[in-house]
Amino acid sequence: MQIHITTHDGVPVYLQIVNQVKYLVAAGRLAAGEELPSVRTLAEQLLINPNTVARAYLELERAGVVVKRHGAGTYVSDEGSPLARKERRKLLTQRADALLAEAQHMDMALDEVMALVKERHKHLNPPQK
Amino acid sequence: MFAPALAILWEIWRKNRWALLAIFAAIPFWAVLNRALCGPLQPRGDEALALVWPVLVFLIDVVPMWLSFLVLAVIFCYTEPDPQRGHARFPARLFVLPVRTRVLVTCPILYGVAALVAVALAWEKLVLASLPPVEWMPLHFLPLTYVGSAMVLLQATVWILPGFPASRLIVLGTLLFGLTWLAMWPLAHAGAGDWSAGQAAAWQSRSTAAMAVISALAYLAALFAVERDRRGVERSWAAWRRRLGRFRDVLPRRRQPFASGAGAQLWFEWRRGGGLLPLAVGFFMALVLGPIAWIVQEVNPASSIVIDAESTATMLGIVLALPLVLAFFVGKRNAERELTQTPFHFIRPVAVGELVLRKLEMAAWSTALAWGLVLVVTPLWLAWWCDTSLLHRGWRALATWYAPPTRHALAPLMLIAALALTWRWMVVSLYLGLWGRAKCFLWSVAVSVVGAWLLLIFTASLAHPGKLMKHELDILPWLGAGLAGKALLAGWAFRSAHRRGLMTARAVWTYLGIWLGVTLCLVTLALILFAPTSASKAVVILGSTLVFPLARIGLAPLALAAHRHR
Amino acid sequence: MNTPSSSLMETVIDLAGVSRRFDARLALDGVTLAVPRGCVFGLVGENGAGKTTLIKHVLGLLRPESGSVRVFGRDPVGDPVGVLSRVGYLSELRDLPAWMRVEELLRYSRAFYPKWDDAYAESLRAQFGLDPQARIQHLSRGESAKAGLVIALAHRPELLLLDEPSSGLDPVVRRDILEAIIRTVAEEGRTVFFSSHLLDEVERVSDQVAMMVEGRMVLAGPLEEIKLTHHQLTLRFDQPQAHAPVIAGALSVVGAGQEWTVLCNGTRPELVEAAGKLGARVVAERHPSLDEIFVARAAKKVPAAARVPTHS
Repeated sequence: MQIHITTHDGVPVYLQIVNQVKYLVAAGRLAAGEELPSVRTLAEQLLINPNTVARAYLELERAGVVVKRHGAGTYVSDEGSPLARKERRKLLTQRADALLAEAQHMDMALDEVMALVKERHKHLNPPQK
Repeated sequence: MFAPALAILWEIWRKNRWALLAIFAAIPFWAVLNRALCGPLQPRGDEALALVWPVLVFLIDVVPMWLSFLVLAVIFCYTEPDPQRGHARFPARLFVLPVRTRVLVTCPILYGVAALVAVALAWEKLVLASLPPVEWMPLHFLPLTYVGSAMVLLQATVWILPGFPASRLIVLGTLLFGLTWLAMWPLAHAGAGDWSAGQAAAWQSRSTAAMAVISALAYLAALFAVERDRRGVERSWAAWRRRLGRFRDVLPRRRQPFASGAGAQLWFEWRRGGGLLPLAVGFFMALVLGPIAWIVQEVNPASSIVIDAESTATMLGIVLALPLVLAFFVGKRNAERELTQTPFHFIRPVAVGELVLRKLEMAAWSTALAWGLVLVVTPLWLAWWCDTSLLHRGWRALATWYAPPTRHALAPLMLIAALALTWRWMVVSLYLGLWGRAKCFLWSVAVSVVGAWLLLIFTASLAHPGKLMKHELDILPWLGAGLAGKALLAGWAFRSAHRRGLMTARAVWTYLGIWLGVTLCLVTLALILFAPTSASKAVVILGSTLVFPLARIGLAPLALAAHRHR
Repeated sequence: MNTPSSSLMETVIDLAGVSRRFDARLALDGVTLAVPRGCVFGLVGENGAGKTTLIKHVLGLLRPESGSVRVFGRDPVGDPVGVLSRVGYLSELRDLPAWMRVEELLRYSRAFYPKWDDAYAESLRAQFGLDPQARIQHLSRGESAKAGLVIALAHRPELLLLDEPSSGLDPVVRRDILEAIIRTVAEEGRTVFFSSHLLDEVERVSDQVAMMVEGRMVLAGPLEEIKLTHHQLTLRFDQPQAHAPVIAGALSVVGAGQEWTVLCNGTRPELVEAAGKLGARVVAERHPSLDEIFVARAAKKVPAAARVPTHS
């Protein structure tokens, strides 16, 4: 699992992990039901405090992205569970708000923003040949 | 061209200005003192004192002279400790300066020779010239070429062999011995009147020329070696050292884990410097019983292969005194090493008392090994190579003086006394070294040197046996006070150490027991040997109780604790 | 003084008002610190701020002139054996005996710690690539740091104390040391206390951080909290400002003309309000990295007017 942590831009480390895991799940690089590395292993790999990894996993679990099985590790959750969808919607609403606020600050019209979103969607999901 | 030379001169001056000032101030002071001692202060009434007066003045003058030479030698050695390699060498920081190696090497040598020759000349002309000639010490001034050559040899040796502190000393000792022989031999013969004036002058000039050639060779060798050092060229004998190291790897070594922390700490202390005393004793013993014995035999041939009786007795005396004398120097060196303690030593979960006890134990093993060496080798040498008639006579005399019980007790008692005294010199300055204050330690060394010198003068002044008897009872109250002070200080120190948890009660009582046992042996021995009158028995007893260290051992854990928890 | 009190068992290191002078210089000035069990505690400060002095107080190598030090509830000066048997220490200096071989060092250290784990020590040694027959004086700086780390870790100490563990070491060795720290922490109940001026490392690995400036503790607390209470706001004024704006809680102010970037300590609403009072609006904000907070706090207090060049 390729995750990069940087301490320079002020984003908390656990949040970086959460965001990157979500990105990987969305990009299909983490399949449903796939096991995530243990807290200790990931901490040693990234050279960060295990508590930070634990916190990130907790966040991901609350967001419904991953599921913790007792004594068996952490796994990417299957899609389609209703609770997870609500959480996801809530998260995406926050993200949309942030994006729109930024766009307003930078004086970008709504159509430009929509066009940008569509372009990025195409980039993430290349058309099947 | 001049600026670097001046810079080096300034550096040497600035670094050692107090020592140099002390020497430059001491010489005129001693000149005045000498004039006073030989003139107005000369004792006229006391005949016994007048007899030994020249010897006393000689001691008063010559010892500081040699001390000043020693100080100058240390100053102009011009080395700096290299933290990376762990030994002193020519200051490597100078190698990156835009100065030729020629200048870097020539300047300290020139300054050293100039300083030493100037100081020697000053001593000779100002102080020793007015000394009345003492019969059995004809040479109390040194030829200047000898002094200059000795300095060059010293500097060259120290720069050429940086990584070998022990071998360096051996090489230096051998070279200086040879140089001294070269310088003194013509003078000795001339003084003894073996030669005519012309012959003496001829040999003298030959000797001077030889010394000049030796200095020139030493200078060139130093130049070559420092240049190689500057270019980082590894010496050929470093390769040999590596091979030797590999050989040492193959030797059987301890591989089992240590049974306890005490064993591990003892091993650690031993590796740090336990073998030094036995090695030094072995080396000097080999020197005395080998080459020197051979030379003596050549000079005084008694019979074909045997060394004559008087020389045997002298050399035996020297060999038996070796451990005692060397223990003094080794003890001071060990104490000096204790001045710098790194956190590594203090991080082990070990109480301070344990650390001190291991050092004492190591010193005991060192002493035992050194004496074991002496007691094994000497009888073999005596049996094989010596005329022991004088010794036999002495032994028979001893048999007549002492009745059987005391006679049989004498040998073991003397052995215990020898071991005790040697161990004493090894550990007596530990407490100061462990305290970690370098200035205090240096002052203590200075005080002990000055004290030894004063004691020498005092003893010489009491050469008359009658005088000794008269003053005896005067020192009785001093001895009593000394013993009381020692007991009080020791009691306080041990109690403090125990109360603070630095030493276990068992350790304290063990040491007290050892002290008591050894002191009893010493007292018995002193009583047997000196068979004093009833008045001076007290002096002898009190004197012998003061020998074995008690208070200074008790202070050692307190000192180390103060160092550990600054 | 020597018996541990149960209420202090949760605090592994407890410093209360510790002060210490060296000649005229005040090395520690009323330092108060509590390190809870199981935490990774990072101590940051410039050279000479007092980090090594503080660690030496924890080890009992220095006595506090005022205040008290308790490690596992005991006084490290009064009970060195009880404290040091549970502590593993890696020094900043290369103070391992130069003449020892690596395997001799391990054998020697083993004799003092009843909890020494032979297999673990051997695996660490192999992992760090240390030749057992090599003499310590021939080891490189990184290798001797690793050797020191092996003997600090092998007896599984409850408290791992590291004094500038990465100073002067290459990135490969630094990784090894960080990994060892993380592995230590992952095991239950073990605490790590380290001082560093590599703030990147401190940020990655610490739970709690303390900052020392000239012997005083200027900041201490959970890393999260510290980062959340520091803000870097970019303010835009309507008029170009001749002098740097003064905001309560500002640690550093940089900029020119109409835009000024302020790094300050406080809650966001208060700061926005204060900025508003000065007639500026917030155009950008972010949480500064620990590096930036440290530099802002450690910089000498220069009068704002003198710090900024005026524009004509």
